Formats: sequence, structure tokens, C-alpha cells
Amino acid sequence: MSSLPDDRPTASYVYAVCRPFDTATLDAVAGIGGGPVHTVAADGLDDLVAVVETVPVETFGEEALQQRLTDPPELERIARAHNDVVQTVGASAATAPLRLATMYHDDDGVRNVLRTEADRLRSTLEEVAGHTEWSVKVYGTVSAEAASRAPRRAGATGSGAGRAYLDRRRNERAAAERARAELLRTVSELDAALRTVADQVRHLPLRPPSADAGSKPGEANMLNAACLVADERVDAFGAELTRWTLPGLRVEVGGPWVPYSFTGPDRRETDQPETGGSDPGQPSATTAGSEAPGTAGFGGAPEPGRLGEPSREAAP
Amino acid sequence: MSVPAPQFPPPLPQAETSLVDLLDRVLAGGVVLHGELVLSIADVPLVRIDLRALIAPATVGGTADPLPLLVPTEAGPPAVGGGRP
Repeated sequence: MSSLPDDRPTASYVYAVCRPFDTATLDAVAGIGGGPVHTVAADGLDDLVAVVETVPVETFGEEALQQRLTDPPELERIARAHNDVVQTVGASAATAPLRLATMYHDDDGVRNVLRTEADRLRSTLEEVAGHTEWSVKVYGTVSAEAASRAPRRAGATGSGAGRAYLDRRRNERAAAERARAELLRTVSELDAALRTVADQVRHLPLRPPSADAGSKPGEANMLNAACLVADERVDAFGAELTRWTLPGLRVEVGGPWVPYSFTGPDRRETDQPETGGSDPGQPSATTAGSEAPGTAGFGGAPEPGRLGEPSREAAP
Repeated sequence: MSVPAPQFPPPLPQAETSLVDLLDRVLAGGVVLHGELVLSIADVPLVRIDLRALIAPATVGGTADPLPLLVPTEAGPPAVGGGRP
């Protein structure tokens, strides 16, 4: 297929590669261009199909799509439409989602890549079959109460008052630091616990509050993990998470996702146990592997935006 | 993968999926195939900038300001736990 009935040229936008499934599930789905979504198979390959939409080059070709992706509302619309198709397919078959905006001139180009990449695609499907991805985000708050749990010297007056004030502030800071360190330890434990119920855990970039509609005032995102969980362990995964109801921590779970975070080119570099990722500025693709495990984000001096300051400063 | 998975937590309608979670996945995850038309799209500097600004604004300081448009207003997934004081 390389043109619409009215002869407008088209391209083939590919959503995912998966094992063959009942394509009736695609009937109710519209793709990024609003058109129907079909499957493409290659001769001689009976275990792989691509999920494809034929899109007009005029409106979704290379240049046009490129333009659309720079427009935030359109980027959101396309990302959601892409994911809707992927999740629909994922409900029916083992699915390897493709990165957004993978396009070919026509369905023959898609058949060609199915053939040339068959081995890699098969092994990816093998890994994710029977698994879903879950998002686990942990937010921490150092409460004013914890921060003020510092010994106070009462009754100083005169020239001693200024000194007492400085001491008190120092003690309060130290108490806040201890509270923060305690939260960090807890998040480390939670991270380790996730690994007992998930096959793999990856750390996605931590969310600065400004980019995170899910964070609340005074909270800091301390863990943003993607977990690959076997279907038969999802209940255990959920049960484990419900154990982590602790003061100062809030856990958000999202899913199930088709395993996007475990099908990328770096999927084998699963993160070592650690908390907090490495650098919030690094895209997730680069967080694995080279970083020393542990405490890059949490260990030393507190960084603004990492872990929230106490919501209230003690008054002088 | 045989979704539907067991019922923890109840699967969310897609409309409620956090946009940042979604972009983390569709733009940074997934299989990378060499599409015939994809390379120049993947390399569009503006897309990169918007993406970085969205996902990691702390490192982008001073670039264009897509955040007010991009930060979704819908609530994130339901909280489990809720230990916040």
C-alpha cells in the first residue's frame, strides 16, 4: 500500500511488533492519523506481525510528523494515540512496542525490517511475554515535626539568646538531615523489596516538581522505577507495595504498561539496586550500567529539589 | 504478555495516564528499528529539547518553556499507601 484511494502518497507508521493475534481487537482502534490500524506479516515468518497504520505523507510524513512532534499538545495527542494502539495489542499478544515515530515508505519496507530484524524481535518478545511493566514512584516529605525534633535549650536571655538561637537552628538542621537520611534508607529498602517481586527494575529519571503533576507541595520524588513483573507475580507485587505505608513516604503505582522500558536497545543493562537514579538530568537510556550503585542522588549533601525541605522553617 | 493482568491496581483508563510517565516510555523506551523515515525525526533537535525540558527541566535551564503547556492537569495514578503526614 503506498497511496490512498485518492492517490495521495502514504507512508507506513509502525506501532509495535508482536506475535500473531486476533486482529478483530484492532477494529475499534484509531491510530495517530485517525485511520484504521492493520497488521503486516512477512512471507516465511509466521510468528511475527507488525501493527501498522497507513498515514498520508502530506499530514504525517517525515516533515509533517516532525513538525507535529514539536507542538506540545500534538505531541501529547500522538503519544496517547500511539500508546492506545500498543496497549490494545498488548492485551491480546506478547508485544514489543516500537519507539514513537518509526515509519517506512510502505508495508513492503515493514516486511523487510521484520525479516532483517526477526531474531532480535523474537528474543525481545520472548523476554516480555507473560510480563507487564508497572511504574512505582515514591515521594518523600521531611515533616516540620521531624525537623524540629531537636533538643532545645530553654531560658537563655541577653547575650546568650543569640547563641541559643544559632544552636537551635543548627540542631534543627541536623534533625532534618537525620530525618532525610532515614527516608533515604527506607527508599533503598523499598527498592530492594521491589526486586524480590519484579523480574527487573529500572530507574527512570527522577521528576523535578515542576515537571510532575503527581507531586505535592513539599514532596520530592525519591524513586521513579519501572518494574517488569511476571503476570503470576502481579498480586505479590501489589501486596509488597501495600506494606510500604510509612510516615513521610507516598507511593504511587501505575500500570499495567506494555513493557516499553524493557524493550529498548539498552534493556539488558538493568539497574543495580540503588535508590534515586543517578542524575535527574540523564534520560533513562543512560542511567543504567556505568553509574556506581548506591547514593549518587541521596548520599551527600542534600540538593535542592531532591528531597523537599521541611515545609515550614522554625521561626526565630 | 496476556494482559489483562491480575487486578492490582485496577487498570487505569488511558486518559488518566500521566503524560510524563507516557513520554518517558514512548520516547525513551520501546524497540528502536531503523525506519526508512525515522532517523531525521528521531534527530529533530526541537523534539529533544522539548523532551528534555519536560522530563528533566533541572538540566535544561533557560531553554524554551514548553512546561506550562505540557504538564498535564489530570491526577496521577491512585496512590497506594498514602503515608504522607
